[in-house]
Amino acid sequence: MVAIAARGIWGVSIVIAILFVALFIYIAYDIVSKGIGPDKASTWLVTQPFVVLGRDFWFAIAGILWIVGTVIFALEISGRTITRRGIVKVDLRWDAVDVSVTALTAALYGGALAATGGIPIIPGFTWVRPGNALAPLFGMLFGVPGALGTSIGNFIADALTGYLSIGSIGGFIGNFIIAWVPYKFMRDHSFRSPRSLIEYYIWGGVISSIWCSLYISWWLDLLEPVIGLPRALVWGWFAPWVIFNNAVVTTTLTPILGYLLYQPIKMRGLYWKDRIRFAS
Amino acid sequence: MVYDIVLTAIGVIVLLAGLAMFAMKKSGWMLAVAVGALWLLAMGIYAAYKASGFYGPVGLAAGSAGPLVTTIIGFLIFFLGVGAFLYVMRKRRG
Repeated sequence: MVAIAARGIWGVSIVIAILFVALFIYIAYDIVSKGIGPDKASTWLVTQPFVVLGRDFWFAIAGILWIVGTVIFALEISGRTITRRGIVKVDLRWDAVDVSVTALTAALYGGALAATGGIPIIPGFTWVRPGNALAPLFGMLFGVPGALGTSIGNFIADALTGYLSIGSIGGFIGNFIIAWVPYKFMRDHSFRSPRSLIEYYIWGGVISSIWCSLYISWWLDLLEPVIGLPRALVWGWFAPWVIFNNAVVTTTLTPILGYLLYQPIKMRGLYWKDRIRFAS
Repeated sequence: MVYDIVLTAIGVIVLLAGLAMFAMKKSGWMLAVAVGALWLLAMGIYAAYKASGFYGPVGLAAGSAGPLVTTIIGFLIFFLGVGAFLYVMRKRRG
C-alpha cells in the first residue's frame, strides 16, 4: 500500500515536472514562430503579462523585489541570513575551500556563458545563454559561495561579450538571486524525491527566473537615461526574454545535472549543508 | 567612460578592503581579495577587448574576431574550470 502511494506521489511530481518543461518549450515555439525581433515581442505569450499590466505596475513590483534582493545580498555577504527566527549569523568561514568554490563556479559559469556570447538576442544586453542552467545548481549545491561565483561569472561573461556596463551591477545581484532562491527555499536539493523535484520547479525553475528578470529590468529602467535601453524595450522585450532564457534551460538541463552532481559533491563534503551552520 | 571608472573603482575598493582585512587579521579577507581580483580581471578583459576593437556600438562587433575569440576563451575558461573542479574533487576524496 505504501509502495503504491509512493509511486503515485512520484507519478504526480513527474507529471508536474513535464508540464513545466512543456510550458517553456511551448513558449520557445511561440517566440520562434512569431519572431525574435523587438517588433514581434509584444505578440509573445510570455510578454502578455507585461503588455496587459503595463510598465508602472511592473516597475512598482520590481522595485520591491529589487530592494528585498539587494538587502538579502548584503546580508548574505556579511555573514547573516533570514530565517523563520529572524536574521541570524551564519557560520561560513570563507576559508580556502569556500573561496575556491566561488572562484571555480565563477570560471565555470563565466566560461559557459561566454562560449555562446557570439549569439546576441538584444545586442548590448542579452544573448542565448544555455550556461544559465548552472546558476541554480551552484546555489543548491554550494550555497552562498556558489551563488557569489554565479554573480562573478556573469560579470566576467559580460566583459567577454561586450555587455559590460553600469547595468552589469544589476546583473551581478540578479544572477546571485537565481542561485540563492533555490538554495534558500528548497528543503531537499537531491533531485531524488518528489518533493525535491516539485520544490525545484517552483523555486529554481520559475520564481528565481522571474525575480532575476524583474531585478535587472528595474535597474535598467531606473538608469535608462545613462544605460540607453528604452523603457518600452526593458519591459516589452528584455524582461520576458530573460524569464524565458533562464527558465527554458533551468527547467530542462538543471534537474539532469543536479541529479548527476548531487551525490559526488555530497560524498566529498562540499555540499553546503555539510559545511555551514546557522547560529541559534 | 565615467562608468568604466566607476566599475574599476568598485573592484579596486573591494580588493583594497580585502588587503586591509588581511592586515587586520579579520576573517573574510580571502573572499574580498578574490572578488576584487576577479572583478578587476573582468575590467582587464574589457580594456583589452576595447583596445582590440572587438566591441561594436553594442555587444561584439560582427565583422571583428571578437565573437570567435570570445567563443574560444569561453570554452577555454569553462574546460579549465571543469579540470580544476575535478582536481579539487579528487583531492577531497584522498
